[in-house]
Amino acid sequence: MDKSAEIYLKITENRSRIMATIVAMTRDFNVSEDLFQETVLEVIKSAHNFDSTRDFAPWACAIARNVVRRHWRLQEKQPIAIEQDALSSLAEIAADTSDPERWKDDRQALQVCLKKLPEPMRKLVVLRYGHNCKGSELAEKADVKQGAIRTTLLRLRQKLRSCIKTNRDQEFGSGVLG
Amino acid sequence: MNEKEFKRLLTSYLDGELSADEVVRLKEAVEETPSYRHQFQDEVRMHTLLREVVSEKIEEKKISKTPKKKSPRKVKQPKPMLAYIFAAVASIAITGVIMGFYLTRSAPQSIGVCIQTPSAGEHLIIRGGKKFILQKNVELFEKDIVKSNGSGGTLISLNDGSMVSLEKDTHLSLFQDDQIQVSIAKGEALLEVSKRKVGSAPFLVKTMDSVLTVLGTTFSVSAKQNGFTKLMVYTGQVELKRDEDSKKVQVNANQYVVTDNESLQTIPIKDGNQDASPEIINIQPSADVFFEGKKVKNEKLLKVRKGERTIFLKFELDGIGPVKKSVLYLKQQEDPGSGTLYFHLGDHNSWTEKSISFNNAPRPKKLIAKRTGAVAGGDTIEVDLSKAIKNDGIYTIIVTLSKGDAFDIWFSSREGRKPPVLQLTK
Repeated sequence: MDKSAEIYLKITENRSRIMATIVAMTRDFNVSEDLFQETVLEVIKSAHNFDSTRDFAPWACAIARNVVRRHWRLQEKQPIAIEQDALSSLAEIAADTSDPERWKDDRQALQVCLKKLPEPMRKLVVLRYGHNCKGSELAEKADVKQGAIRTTLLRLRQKLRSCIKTNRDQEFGSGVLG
Repeated sequence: MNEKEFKRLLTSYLDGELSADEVVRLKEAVEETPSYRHQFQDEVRMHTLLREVVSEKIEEKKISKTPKKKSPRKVKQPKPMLAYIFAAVASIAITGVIMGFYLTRSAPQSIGVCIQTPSAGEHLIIRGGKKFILQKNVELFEKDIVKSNGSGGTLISLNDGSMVSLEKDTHLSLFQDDQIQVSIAKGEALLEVSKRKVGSAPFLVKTMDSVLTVLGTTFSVSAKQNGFTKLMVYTGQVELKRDEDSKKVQVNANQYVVTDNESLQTIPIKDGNQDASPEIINIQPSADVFFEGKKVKNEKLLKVRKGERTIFLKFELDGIGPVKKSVLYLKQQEDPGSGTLYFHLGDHNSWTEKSISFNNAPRPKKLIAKRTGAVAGGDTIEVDLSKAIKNDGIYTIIVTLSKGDAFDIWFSSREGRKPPVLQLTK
């Protein structure tokens, strides 16, 4: 496999971790999706510097952090330096993992768990994560009190995590018994 | 920090609604408490995966509902009242004509689809002399002209699997004969051309003065304002043929060539030497404090006064490369003053806001700039440091004032509302 094909494959495999790095810094999905594309181009441009004996994700996530910092530098209103440093540290922690497979496994399980959500919760998920609605707009459209919207979303994510864990435990159980 | 406060910060953080101080508090909590670190990782992972999975589902639904790819939305032009009246009267007839045209004309040849447009800037397709807004999922046809104005990042996926990314202010057009052709009239595009099948025609890129023949590789092409072309190849190999003398050159991976070079000599790509247009980069200090006597102060203000108060700024330039100009901006806050401000380079950079003390603080090594005059309320002073700051590195700038007593000046620190900025022009 040539180097660029190898890099493309690795980007695809680690897409969610790279995206999480950018989301953790910008906290805006639309901006993150633009910057993800820029990161892909930067990763391809820097492919010749990548040592294939090393772990790809931390290298690509470091490039992603630089892309976000460069994006901030070109903005008129940029976060102040200590905020930039703090967001960069949080992004590093967000993508840090001892189990890289977990991102892929959770993604697959999430698709199953989303189908199990009751209709009002599914609507809330689609509005927040599909249409990027926030704050009062989200509260109004999802018919949830504005003061309760963040707590509701927090509980929803906890519920989905618990569903993912149950799924994983069941798969593991059937494998052992099977 | 208790659990309730942590959850408040975490959920507001995900919505991008924390102040700078709160972001720092969240970071400290996550770094100091392992259970908070796990919760933070779980929440960001779930937040990101939800976006990916749900937006994918929505895209899939859109595609399954509309078998045809999206058509571009026409750019709205302001119309005078008469035109509206005319439009109302003639609308039925026009609709009939348009329907007839689309039903009877031969199907245009699709070349690819736009898969990404940035939110900033203006992104258009010129089709049949008419302007349309370029949106995600819009199908592109032969002879379409794509314009990416004001911001780069438009991505086009071509039917042969190749990808084209348009940089800021780039205009290109697409053709397909027995091979795909991209013609770049202005700006810069990065192309990832899929490998050609054995026996199939090569991918061609045309610029104002050259033709590039590609067999499958990654490269960028700039159509320079002076009419010349710059080709940079990252992987694989591209052949460039200059129109005026039919001179050819093979450009290999990590090489570039500019067609204003008579002999078309290839040059190795080195980081930071490519962009012809100046790039402005704003850097904030990685540390800043001032000393009041022997006491170090790390506050939202930086204060300077003769013999009593001295400011220390540290800037870290990494991955930027050579710069043509570097200018320091300091914003006055609260207390105006006057006198001559002296800017010295420090003799070392081994300090942080936490570690610096009167005994280990850098000492002035070299005077690099000075500024004389009053600094009034709300002023931003501008100091040219180009002679001292020319490339990557760590720089400590020590600021002193020639006057004491009531002439002292206060500036915003990096923790303040208008942090110091070092503006670099590449």
